[in-house]
Amino acid sequence: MSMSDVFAAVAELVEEVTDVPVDEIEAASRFESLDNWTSLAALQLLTAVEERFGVRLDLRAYFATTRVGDLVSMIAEDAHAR
Amino acid sequence: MIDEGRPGDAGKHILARIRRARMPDAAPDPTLLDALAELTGAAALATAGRLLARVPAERIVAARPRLRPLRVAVSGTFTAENVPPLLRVQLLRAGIAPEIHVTGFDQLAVQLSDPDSALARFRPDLTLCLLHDRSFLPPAWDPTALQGVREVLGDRLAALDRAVAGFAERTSSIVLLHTVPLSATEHRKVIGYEGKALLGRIWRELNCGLLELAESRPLVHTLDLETILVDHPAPVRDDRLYRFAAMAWSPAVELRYAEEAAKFARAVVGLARKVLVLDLDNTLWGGVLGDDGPTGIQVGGQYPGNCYTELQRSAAALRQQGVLLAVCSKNDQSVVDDVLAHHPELTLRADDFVAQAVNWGRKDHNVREIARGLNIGVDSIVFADDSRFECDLIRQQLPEVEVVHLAGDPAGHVPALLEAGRFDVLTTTATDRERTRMYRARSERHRFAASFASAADYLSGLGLRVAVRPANDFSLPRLVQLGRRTNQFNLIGAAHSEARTRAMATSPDHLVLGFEVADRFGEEGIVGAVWVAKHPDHWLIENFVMSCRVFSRGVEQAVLSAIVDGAAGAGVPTLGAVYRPGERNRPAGEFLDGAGFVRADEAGHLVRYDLPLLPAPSAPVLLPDWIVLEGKGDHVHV
Repeated sequence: MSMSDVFAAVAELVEEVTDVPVDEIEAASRFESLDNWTSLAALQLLTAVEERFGVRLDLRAYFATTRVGDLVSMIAEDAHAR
Repeated sequence: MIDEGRPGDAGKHILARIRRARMPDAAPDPTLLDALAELTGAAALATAGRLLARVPAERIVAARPRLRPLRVAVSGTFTAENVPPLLRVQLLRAGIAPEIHVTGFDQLAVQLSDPDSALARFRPDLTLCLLHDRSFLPPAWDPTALQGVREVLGDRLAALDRAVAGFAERTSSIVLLHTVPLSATEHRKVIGYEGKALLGRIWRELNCGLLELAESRPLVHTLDLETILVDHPAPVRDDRLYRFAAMAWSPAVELRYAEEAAKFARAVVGLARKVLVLDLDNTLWGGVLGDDGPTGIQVGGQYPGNCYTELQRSAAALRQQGVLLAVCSKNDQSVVDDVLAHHPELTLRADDFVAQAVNWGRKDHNVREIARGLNIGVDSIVFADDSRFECDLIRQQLPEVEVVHLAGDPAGHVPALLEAGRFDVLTTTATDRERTRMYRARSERHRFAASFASAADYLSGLGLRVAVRPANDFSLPRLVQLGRRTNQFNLIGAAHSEARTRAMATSPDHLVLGFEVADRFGEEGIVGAVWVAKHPDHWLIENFVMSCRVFSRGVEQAVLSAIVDGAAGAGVPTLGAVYRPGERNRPAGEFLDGAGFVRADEAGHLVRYDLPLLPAPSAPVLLPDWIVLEGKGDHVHV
């Protein structure tokens, strides 16, 4: 799966969780500036990402990500490490 | 990479449809609710549930069946914010339009106890109490003093009991508790195996106490979640989510709980199914009775026969608890009767069933007939069959029926039948155990093709129409086929060949008639045929066959009346018929007796019956008054 595929899939999940339309989500989008972004939404995104990609992320690292693109890199690294 | 749970294209499409339905002036999308079945995975379902919270339920379902309203409260000892959206989806799919109220984190005890709490003011019909191990277990429990732990658990259970009982009494809400799994993390804190065993026992005492509340408190029920999670593949708890957000259940367990709670809600509103309609071949036993014979079917013994035995045992267990069993099978009744009476390995016998639709007719008609005979709605029926064709037919024609397609390995059939909890009710009673017997007494006449008496009051409501028509190129093959396939209503127990039938159909001295039946529920199509030789001084019925799926409605009398009219109109003094008594065609012989024919002659195996037509027939009036004979003059009079 290429980085852009991962990004597309993550953007869809972000849309699912926050209800922000997928075409408004960019790699540079900051999670905190998304509508409906709450800590619950963050956990929902976490579990959705883990379900979708079969990865398991370190919660500390996950919460340290600020932009959608950071999360995409993190997923790719975790998947690669497996 | 695991792709499970990914919404996928279908899922994305469904979520988009939900978003559209959420617009204030959105058009109805009546198939959206059914489409939710394509969504898998906790994440996508939770999203759907959140989006659906702002969609009026009537916008996403067909007008019928109507969704049942239910006020559902969710209150827990831990963070369970994902449960309500999952619950909403499962409830909608279960036929319930919920109004859901959620209390905040760890609010359970307060909300239950305070008579003026937001929970009490919500006036729930159903209150779901979500519990986790640490709501009973103290934070720093002492693994060397388990007796003390036992006492704490007992005290906290008693406190919960008081709060729940008071709440139920004040609000009349049904309360659903559940047994609580002990998380592995806590269990592993004890290192001695004796201690582990004792902790396990103490924990089970707590769960037994929770289960006991269901017995001692009228409105309180306890879901045995610990047992439900035995075959659940995911961990109960994700420790990251628990430590970070006090979420005590992993997403998969949240989903599982939502499914189970929705099943319970269905029992609460009375949506449990009451009748299980079972196919026979490759469902109740392995193999095809007609092909493999009574000794060749698979049931009992080892795999795969034991799978079918287990299905029969499961059906028997349902019957004991008040579910009515019926058979719907394409088979010959006499062969089925024989197997049900004499096959040594069967668990289910004839008197376990309240109705048997064993014939070659359309199964949707049979299922409808079963419902009518039992005087229940088709929405009470679960239909289980191994044939995709039959399952699709029922889904299309009778969408209210719940269809269980028993495909693949027979070891999976029992789980497929039971796991959705389609028959689950809050309690069963002594009446339930007697129900099969009561219905059998009431509906004896609906044992299909076993009784040929007609119930005039019932039949007159059917609007039966019978059309008798001479064979043509289109109908002729079907008439020949009917002759071959009909055993019970077949005067000579044999069939006219296609060549012979064709010759008769085109001969001026013969008559080949087919007849069709329709009623207010639909058309049966061609259901029988008659072969007649026209002699100057008599007409002779060489054979008269009729499908058993239209037995007991007076159809045969109506057809005979058309032939009598034709013969009498031609000035023929006598109508004769040939009957060859056999093991299985007694119904056909009884028909001749009942219609006023008298035995005139016997030659070998054949009996000749005669019905005098002139002077005016002394026979009973043949055409039943609940049947309209269509276009009789035009056709028979050929």
